[in-house]
Amino acid sequence: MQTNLARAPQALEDAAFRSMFAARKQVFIDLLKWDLPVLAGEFELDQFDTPDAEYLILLDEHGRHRASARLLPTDRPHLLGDLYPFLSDGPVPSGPSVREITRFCLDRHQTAAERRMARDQLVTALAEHALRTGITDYTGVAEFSWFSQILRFGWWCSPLGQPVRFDGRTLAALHILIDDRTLVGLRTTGVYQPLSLRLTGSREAQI
Amino acid sequence: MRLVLAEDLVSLVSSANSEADLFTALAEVTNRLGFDHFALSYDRRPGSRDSTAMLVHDYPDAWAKVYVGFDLGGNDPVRRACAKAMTGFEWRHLDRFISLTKGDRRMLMVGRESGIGDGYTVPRHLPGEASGSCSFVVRPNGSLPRSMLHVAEIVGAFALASARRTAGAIAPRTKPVLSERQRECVLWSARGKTAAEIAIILGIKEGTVIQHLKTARERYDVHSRQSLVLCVLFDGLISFADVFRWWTMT
Repeated sequence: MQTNLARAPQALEDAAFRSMFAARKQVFIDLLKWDLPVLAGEFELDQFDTPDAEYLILLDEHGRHRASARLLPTDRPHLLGDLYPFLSDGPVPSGPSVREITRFCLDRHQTAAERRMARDQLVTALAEHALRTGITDYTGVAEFSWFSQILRFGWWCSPLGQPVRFDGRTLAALHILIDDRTLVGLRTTGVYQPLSLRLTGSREAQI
Repeated sequence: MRLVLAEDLVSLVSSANSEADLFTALAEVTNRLGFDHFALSYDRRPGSRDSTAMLVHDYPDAWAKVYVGFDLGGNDPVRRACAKAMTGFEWRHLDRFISLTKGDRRMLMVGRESGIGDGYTVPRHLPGEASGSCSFVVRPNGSLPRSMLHVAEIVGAFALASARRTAGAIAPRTKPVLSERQRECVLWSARGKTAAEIAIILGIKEGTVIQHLKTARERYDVHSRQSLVLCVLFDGLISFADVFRWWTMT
């Protein structure tokens, strides 16, 4: 288990990133039909995959992608602040200790039980990453069914405004507070899972 | 999860733009989920100049009179549990969050006599902005519709978001009201230390500690140390853990 976001050897990092961008294409474009740019017919990357973005990537023992998420700083352009500000009734939570969770991605090539395990480990990794690095709040935009799951993981999570129908999807903005009760909350619901997958990531997208 | 039902009811509570709308929407939600009563409360920055309080409920008159008339709000065990819980909870699990006093049990009993049986409450404390809760309740001989509690949690969370919009969503205080030194003085004060003791701990003069605490009280516009500690806890500048962990360590 790797407990920080230390930079792994360059080649491995590239492989992890490649498999994440490929998985994102398979999930968000092929499965969910989001209208996103494709790179080389195989990878999903957009204008927010910049050196400012951070990534949490979970890999199995063979180095294959299982789950990943992208964290965007909120004191510069990000989805909720720039594309969906109307989803938030009050000011969009932002600042140096606030990150937006985007592209929460569970690999398609796994069984339901494996997906569930990868999901729980990624949620746990997000909470632990925040506690370790001083992140106090996460924000995000989610489709209603996914939102309903996130709301019940056991951490403090609240809608920032009413859901809005958008391109045939119902989207809502969410706010997660991270504090000393977060892990207790995740444990209560059974979502908390110690990492058995390998966590990697970096500040920079390299492809 | 009954996703279609949840989305339907969320859209209902989300279209509410006034207390009257919220009442109508929550009455419909209560009915469709198989509860008998509801109560939503939303207190924005209690005690401050921006304070607003909203209470929308269809509790039986008998209970509303007792509750408001005797100002039981301050002793309500459900409210106290809300301060601890981050997600929805059943009232039969109240003792997982708080220890129930004799008074609490009596209050729950009076509630039952007045038509309030078991309940499910969705709490949301928005640090620095507001405290809210949305409860769905059954009659004394009724049983909670357990298969609907997930839906109730989601709908309750969105109902509170509607209450926030109706009351006027305001930015939480992002800039701490207190300086770091003032915060430290309040923290030690919450841990039970006198000004003289705090002065020794922080290595500053007692007069300076007194001045820090005075300035802190002025910034929150409160007149006692207890009120100051509460305000600072509400804003999240200090946490229960900061205090309790220190107690258990010593």
